Amino acid sequence: MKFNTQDGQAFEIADETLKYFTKVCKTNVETLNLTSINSRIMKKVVQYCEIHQEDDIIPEIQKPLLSNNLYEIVGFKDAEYITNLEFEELLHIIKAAELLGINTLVDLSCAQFAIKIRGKSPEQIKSYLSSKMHKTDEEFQRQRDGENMAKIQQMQSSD
Amino acid sequence: MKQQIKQDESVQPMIILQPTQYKFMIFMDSSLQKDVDKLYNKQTRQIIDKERAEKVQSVKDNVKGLREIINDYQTQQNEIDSLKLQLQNQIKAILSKEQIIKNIEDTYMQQMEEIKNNYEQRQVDLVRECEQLKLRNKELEETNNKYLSQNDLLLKSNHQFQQRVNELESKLAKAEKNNLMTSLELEQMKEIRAGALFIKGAYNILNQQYQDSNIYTLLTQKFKSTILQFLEPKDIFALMLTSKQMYFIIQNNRSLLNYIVNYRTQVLNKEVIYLKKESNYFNDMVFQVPEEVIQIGIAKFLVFKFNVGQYMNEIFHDAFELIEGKFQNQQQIQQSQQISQNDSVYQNEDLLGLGETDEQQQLKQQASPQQQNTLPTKNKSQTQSNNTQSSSKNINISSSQAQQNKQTKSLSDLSLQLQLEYKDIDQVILESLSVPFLKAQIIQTRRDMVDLVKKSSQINQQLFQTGRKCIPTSTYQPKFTIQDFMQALQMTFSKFVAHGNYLHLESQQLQQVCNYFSKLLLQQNKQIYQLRSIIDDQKVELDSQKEMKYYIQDRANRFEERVIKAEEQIFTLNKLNFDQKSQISFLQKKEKELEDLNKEKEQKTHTLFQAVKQIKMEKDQVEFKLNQVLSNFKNMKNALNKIV
Repeated sequence: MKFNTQDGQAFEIADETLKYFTKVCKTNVETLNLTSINSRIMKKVVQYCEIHQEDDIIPEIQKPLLSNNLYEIVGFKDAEYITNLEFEELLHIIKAAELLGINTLVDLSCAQFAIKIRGKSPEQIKSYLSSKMHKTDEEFQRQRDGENMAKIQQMQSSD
Repeated sequence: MKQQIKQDESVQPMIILQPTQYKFMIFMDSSLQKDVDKLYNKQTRQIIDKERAEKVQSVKDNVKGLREIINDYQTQQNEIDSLKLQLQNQIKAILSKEQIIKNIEDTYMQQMEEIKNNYEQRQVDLVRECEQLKLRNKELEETNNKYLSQNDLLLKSNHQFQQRVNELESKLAKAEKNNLMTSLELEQMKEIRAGALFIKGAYNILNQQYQDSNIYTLLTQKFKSTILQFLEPKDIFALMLTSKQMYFIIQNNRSLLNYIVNYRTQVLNKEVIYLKKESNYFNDMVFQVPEEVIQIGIAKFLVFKFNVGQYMNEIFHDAFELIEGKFQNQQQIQQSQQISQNDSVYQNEDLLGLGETDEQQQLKQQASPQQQNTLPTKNKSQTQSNNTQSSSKNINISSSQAQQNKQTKSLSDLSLQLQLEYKDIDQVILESLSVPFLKAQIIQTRRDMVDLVKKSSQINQQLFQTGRKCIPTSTYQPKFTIQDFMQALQMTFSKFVAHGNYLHLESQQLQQVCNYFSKLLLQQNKQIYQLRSIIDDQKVELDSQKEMKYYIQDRANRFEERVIKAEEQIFTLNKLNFDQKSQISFLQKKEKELEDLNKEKEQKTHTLFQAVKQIKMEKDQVEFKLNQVLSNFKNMKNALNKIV
């Protein structure tokens, strides 16, 4: 199955990986346009599915969380995968996983997010979220520049 | 002849006589003969001379005649020559004219052929163009028909969609009418729906305001339950207190509230179980250990009781803040404040943060951070002081009471602080929510719960007083022993447990009611959402159909314009064709004229040929005559020659 991301990049997903895409795998659609997911997030999502390509079952995460250390709660691969993500990537991955129906990834991402909040005072949570969420104009400009550069490079490579 | 005769004279002449002369030759002698011959010669000479003269005269006449004839012939010959020359000139002129005519004919024929070819080619081209234009016209008509049919279909579908939309609207209106027509429950549901819509509107506004912030959108979407399920209630409360929006988001999540209530209930049950165990342990201690240990047990019990009260207070406080507090108006709060101030028994109501005036709240707010910070140390100091009291066997109840009061105050301050933090959020919620049916029930439940708390605190107070009275001092001997106190304590505890169970049941009922109404709200919201989504879909489809219709109309107009242009082109081509035809007819006329001219020229040439023929005939005749004359002349010449 082929997926076209927001920035026009195409992803060919094999059936072994596609089994985790619960909302998509049973459809007969050959190509799907993902207007709300960019290629960077899609790569991460595909990476998660490829990590569990050979797994039959992904164990469910216990609720509520019993520890602040994710390595004690989930497997090493999942912990290694999710802890290396940035905060914004995490949010986008939650949305992408929900959209594609990868429930285990939704749980894993939400657990990671919950760990970031767990045991903290309101002030600490506020400062954590505000530091993550509020970007300066320069940061936004840098992000836009980066996206534009990526688009130009894609155009050049396609030419 | 003369020579022959002269020879005869000189020599013995051998006279060759003519037959007629032979008769005389036999009978005559030589002299006679000589005379006769002389005479004869004379006669013959005379005759011959005569004949000669005559003949010469005739020859002369003939010569004269011949000369005249020759002169005539020569004149005729000259005339013939001149005629010949004239004829030749005429022939030459005729030939040159013929040549010119031929050249003209050739050029004319060539031009004619070229014109014919051009005309035929042009005609063929015109026919082709006409055919092509006809085909194009047909195609355009077909496409136009197709688009018209499509347009009709689209109009039909549009009409159908409009009908469907009307049907749906009518259904919606019917459903609304039905809703209106139903009983009081439906009215209540409508009120709930209005409240839900209002909440939804407020939620949408907040959602729009904070859609840039991913965390809020994330928490307002379905992931919130997933994320929050990983958190404990204290974490959720901490998250709630980060901002108004977060508070609003979490507060609107009824399942989450149920989760918190359940969690708290579980904690309460655990505490009750632990309390039972502790009471058992306390009973054992009472029967086994001396008084000082009992004092420790009482103090411990009081601490645990206080803990239970704190949990209950928290539950009520949360319930108040999360469910009922938003409906509580300021007057009710003031009334309750007055009641609490007047009623000394309900001192523990301060735990709920309701029995304070604004001034008191301000004063306590100033003091609260310090008290909040000192709270754990105070608890510790309380236990420590209890230990020291027990060791010295001098029970200073007044100091423990003061400590308890301090704890109560610190807790009330804590609750006050929380209340102040929630106050501004509550104002927003007070404005946004108005569900009278649920409000009344929840207020009633909350009052019951507050009464329960008051009763429990009253019991606690009584218990504490009674317990204090049971402890003997040097100057005071109690009427009731410690065993009596323990019995009373057990009774109070059982009452407390019963109250706890009642409270639990109440909370469960409240939860059920909340669940029921949340389900109803959800169903209503779902129905509304479905209807709205259907209407929106239909509107979108209608809009797309309208766009399509406009697009097709535009296309049809364009095609009409193109058809008009094509018709204009056809018209111009027909005009050109007509011009060509007129030119062709003009050329045909010219051709006819040229043909006529050609015919005339042919006739002229024919007449010329005839004239040439006649001239030739005449010439032949003249030549024939000349030949005759020449032959006559030759004959005459021959005859003359003969004569000569």
